[in-house]
Amino acid sequence: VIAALPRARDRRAGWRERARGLRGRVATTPGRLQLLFWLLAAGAVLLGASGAAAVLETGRAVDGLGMSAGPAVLDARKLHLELADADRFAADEILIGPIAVSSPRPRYESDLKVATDDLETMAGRTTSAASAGLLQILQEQLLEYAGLIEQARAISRLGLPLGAAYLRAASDLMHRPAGILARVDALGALGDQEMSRDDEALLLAAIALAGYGAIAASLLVLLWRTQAFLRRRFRRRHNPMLLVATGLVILVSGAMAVTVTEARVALGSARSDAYERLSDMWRAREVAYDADGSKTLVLVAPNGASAQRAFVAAMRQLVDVQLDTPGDSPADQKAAGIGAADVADALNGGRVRFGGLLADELQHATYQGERKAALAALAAYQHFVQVAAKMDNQLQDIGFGTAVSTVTSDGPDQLPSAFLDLDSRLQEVVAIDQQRFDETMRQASLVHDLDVTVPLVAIAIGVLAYLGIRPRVVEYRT
Amino acid sequence: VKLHVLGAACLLLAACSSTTPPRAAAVSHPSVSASPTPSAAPDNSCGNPRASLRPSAPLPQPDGLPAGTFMQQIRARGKLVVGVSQDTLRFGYRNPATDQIEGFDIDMLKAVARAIFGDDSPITYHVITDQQRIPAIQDGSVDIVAQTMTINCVRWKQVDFTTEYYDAGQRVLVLKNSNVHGIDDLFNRRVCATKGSTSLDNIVQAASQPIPVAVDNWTDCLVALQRGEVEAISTDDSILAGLEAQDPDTQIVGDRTSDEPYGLAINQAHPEFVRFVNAVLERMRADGTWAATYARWLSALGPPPSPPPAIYRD
Repeated sequence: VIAALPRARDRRAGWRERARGLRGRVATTPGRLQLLFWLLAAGAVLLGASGAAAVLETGRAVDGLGMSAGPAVLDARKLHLELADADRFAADEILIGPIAVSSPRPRYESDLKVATDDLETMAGRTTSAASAGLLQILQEQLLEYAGLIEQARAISRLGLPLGAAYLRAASDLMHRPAGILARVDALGALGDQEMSRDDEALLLAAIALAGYGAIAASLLVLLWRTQAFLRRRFRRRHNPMLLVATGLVILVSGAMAVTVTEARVALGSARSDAYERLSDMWRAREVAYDADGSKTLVLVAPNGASAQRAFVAAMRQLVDVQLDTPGDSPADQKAAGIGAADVADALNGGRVRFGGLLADELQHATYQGERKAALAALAAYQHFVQVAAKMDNQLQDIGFGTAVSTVTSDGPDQLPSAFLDLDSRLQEVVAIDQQRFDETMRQASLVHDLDVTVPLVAIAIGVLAYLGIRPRVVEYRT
Repeated sequence: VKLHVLGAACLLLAACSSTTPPRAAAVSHPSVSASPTPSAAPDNSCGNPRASLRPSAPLPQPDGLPAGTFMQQIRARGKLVVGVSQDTLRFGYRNPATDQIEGFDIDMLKAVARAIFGDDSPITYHVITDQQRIPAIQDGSVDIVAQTMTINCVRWKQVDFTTEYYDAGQRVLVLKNSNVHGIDDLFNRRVCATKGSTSLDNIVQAASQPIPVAVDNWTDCLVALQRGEVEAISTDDSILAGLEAQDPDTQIVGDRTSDEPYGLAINQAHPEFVRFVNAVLERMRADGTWAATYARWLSALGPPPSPPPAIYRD
């Protein structure tokens, strides 16, 4: 310890000596100029880094909604309705039997192919282990499902009732709690989770933006002081290079403030309005496909009560009113009457006195065309519900064969045409919401214009500082 | 790669239409039944369960039905509402080729409709599960149920029965390569039956202690057997014969372990309708319609036996 004491004293003395030397150099004009240059260069680097961080993190959140998490949720919704449709048409084929003039088989095959292709695309795009795991299970379940449907078809064509049992097993695999559709919905939920992770990117962007503001202010002060120093020492009015650098700092900071703020506002609006509307309308289509499929399953499963419950639950997500179904209690029948009157009133321009996805769309419609499309969807919903009730009554009063005809025939006032109309109306609303979402995202995506601009401007500021100060150092020495 | 395999498999499966379903190893979905609880002795509180209400008069003409009776109400309504199965081959099943529900049970109902309306077309079929038979009768959503329904004293407390129209007995259906030869070989093995059937009660009460597995429909049991989810199906030999006919790789084994007399079920509020239907059945037995119906639907089970005799309690 005693031996180490002199060495520590020597070190401290060395530092003091170096600090004295530095102060001496800075006290000279070229030393001060060199110090100012390095400070400006460091400021430019920090400005570029913090600006790039703010822009990139905001851009990441924008891309998350517009290109990653958002599409993942919508892709899952699309996959859900394709598979529900496939199940519906597989059931139709068994219900109609081999004597059918037009077979629902091509529609089933087409749905299954599109769904399989979509799964392949999703599997190729996913980067998350959880999604990859779900997609693998889905692929296996879909293989099992297709096998069961083929069994059902082959056996039914022999005229044996066992075919319907295989169809029920397949539909159970599609609709049960851990079944195919539930896993597709879980995929969508993963997309939602990913979207909430984008909030972290927005927080980082806000921190980086605050840092950028502080650095930009410091840099402006430094540039002003450098300008003042040069004016004093070299008797020149302005240093043009430093003046340009100051202008660049002000310009890029203004652009940053405007663009990033606009992007954040657009992103917020996209999330809370445009995307929510779009996602809800895809959900409405998904729900309509579920409801349509349930009506076929009511006929395939002799205890069709659970399928009937699924139909009612699905329809109430669209419009939250009591539905008129056979065997209802008088209180339920009364509620169904009120619900039907509420829907009719809304269609006649009255107040929307019910909840559900279509009610939300009506209430959030921002222009006449959008409201008109939502009302057309509501009218199509009303017709679909009426045809479904007709089928219930046929099953109750006339018989199975007539109900099968209503569910599978193509004519007017049959379920397929009523559903087709409902789905096409919902697609029109989806198209309007998609357009609004795309416009909002296009505005938010302008933040990407600054991806390269900010670092380039930072480099330019550094170069301008060098070009502005270096000639003065040389001039002083000569 | 998996998706390509899936697509190829879809095409392959579409190309093949095997008559013998393959046995896919799969996850089990039928539920293991927790009820009914086994009871040591059968309920004989009703005396002879086969005994029904005696026809009060000769069968009237359709246009001469007694006023104020349930038959008259049905005629005035213009349709007989019936509860049937759509998947019990030979008794009540929907023929995919004709889109009609057909079978031995259905012909019994058509005879009742003919007696009320003069023809058998005004029938509305409600397809129900075994479990829904008694509730459907009790809540009046159907007038009569013909669905391989065993007459017993427990059920007599809930609904009325006609006289016996078919005599069945419980046996076991297994895969041909199974080492099960009867109900006694089913210790700790999963055995399928439908919810609400006497077959399920009998499985629960079997001395060999099988594990009962309950599903909604008999064909669901066959799917479960083919997929390896159960090792046997145990129910009436008449139903098993229909299942066996749908899968040549299965066989019925063992002796009858119970008597299962089938009757048509009717709401207890309409004893006159029970007497009326018994008169219809009496006529079917006497004029050879029963034997002809048996020959039409059940000839695969053997030559037509004598119709089950009508037994009356008053």
